[in-house]
Amino acid sequence: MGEMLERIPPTYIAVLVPVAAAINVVGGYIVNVLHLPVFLDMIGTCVTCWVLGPWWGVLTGVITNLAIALLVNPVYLPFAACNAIGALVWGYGAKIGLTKDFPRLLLLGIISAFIITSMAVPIYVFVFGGATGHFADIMTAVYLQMGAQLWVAVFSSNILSSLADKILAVFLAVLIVEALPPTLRYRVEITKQPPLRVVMYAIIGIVIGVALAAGFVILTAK
Amino acid sequence: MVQTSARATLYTPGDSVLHKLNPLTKVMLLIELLIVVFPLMNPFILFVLAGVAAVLAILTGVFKSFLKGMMILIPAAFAMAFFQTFWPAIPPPHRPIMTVGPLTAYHEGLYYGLVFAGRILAMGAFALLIVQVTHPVDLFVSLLKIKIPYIIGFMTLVTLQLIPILMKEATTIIQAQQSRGMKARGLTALIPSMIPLFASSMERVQQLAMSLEARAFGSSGKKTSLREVRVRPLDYVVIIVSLVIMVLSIVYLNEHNWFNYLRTFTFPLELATVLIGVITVGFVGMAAYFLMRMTG
Repeated sequence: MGEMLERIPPTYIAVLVPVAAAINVVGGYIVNVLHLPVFLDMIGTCVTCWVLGPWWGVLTGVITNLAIALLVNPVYLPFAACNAIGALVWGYGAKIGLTKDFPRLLLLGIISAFIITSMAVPIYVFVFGGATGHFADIMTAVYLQMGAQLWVAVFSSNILSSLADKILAVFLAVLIVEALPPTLRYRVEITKQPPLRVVMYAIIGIVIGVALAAGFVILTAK
Repeated sequence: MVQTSARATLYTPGDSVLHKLNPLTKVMLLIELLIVVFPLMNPFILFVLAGVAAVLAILTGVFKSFLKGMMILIPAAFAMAFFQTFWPAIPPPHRPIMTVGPLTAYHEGLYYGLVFAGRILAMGAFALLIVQVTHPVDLFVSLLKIKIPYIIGFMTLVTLQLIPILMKEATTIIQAQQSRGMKARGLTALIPSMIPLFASSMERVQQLAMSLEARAFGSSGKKTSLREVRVRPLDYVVIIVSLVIMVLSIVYLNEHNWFNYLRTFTFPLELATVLIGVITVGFVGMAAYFLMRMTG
């Protein structure tokens, strides 16, 4: 933290966190307008936890959910825990070198999807009785009819869209970080590679995420 | 600044008693309510409580946006009731009511499903009401008084101001891309609408940081707020009375086992038919809507 504060001016921190939180909320809004089966409400969190450190990412996540509570409905406040745990996974993942190259970034996206979904499932089950109020509920009903336990059904129906969602979030965050001034992005290792290659990696990652999401749509429609 | 952040949120201006209470008093009232509501195991009481919140919303003059906020919870409420009715997440024995196609509905399930739906509606209704009568700036000013770091309050307020600006920008970008032939929905539209938004947000980071620098952000002088928040005698009265009521109701409800009739309540067949019908139609309608949206 000390090293970071020397190199990043405090006004940047004071601004980057709110902009990231706003990107989170607006990402969710765009997804809604375009009718996509993902959430994309953690891209900003991913950016801050890489650039500033895991605990600034946690703060971004908490502020995002506070804003959603004041804008939409306060019952969604418990999901701040998911956003926070995602920030910790991504932030500490970057510290142990998981942002170095393409395969590691993909791995980071997959790991985070599993951890964040494991965090979300208890909230869905205990507060919302297994319901999410969106597309994943259709799959939950199918799994329940196949004889699955409620929490297994909720996990299985959410993990696929979560995988697509987190892989997309990680690689979209790579694109944002690449666009930041060098003084801000020096901690994110992938940006040390040539810019064109970083953009190419990001695009491949996004294509994988999109393919997963499309797979989810086809699976649900069946 | 004050006006923008108010317009973006659910806050609805007014001059009711609830509006005038100290924000922290209101937050405490809400926490007390949630403590009592969460363990309640009686759908009837829970739905009545949601109704009470709606009446309060009418009395304080915030009903229109209250209804809008509650609408978001409706699909989740239907899904909760649907899952529990047909696949109760409680240990057997389950007493069957009727069979609908391949599914069997149970008394325990219907009861438990209604409890879940009622609980989320009641909790959501009260939380929504409190948010609607509390100005966000007031909330953070009073949080500063109990030593919440200034930077957290500052960041949250800036976020609340940025969201409507970025949303407007996102809408403009999507429309601009559509005018160039981008599809109106679907995954291919994701990148063309996200990237320009990111680019402009990053520019905004630079601008905002510079303007903060120019206004001596982080100086150690005393910070003042445009809005004053007072603690009035009424706040103390409300806090003490509500605490007493909370303790008494917990004792009373605990004596009556939180009015839990999960294992004993039997729905009359007509009532069960109507309820299951409404729940099933609600859930299937929601599912059809989502599928239609996703596949185009």
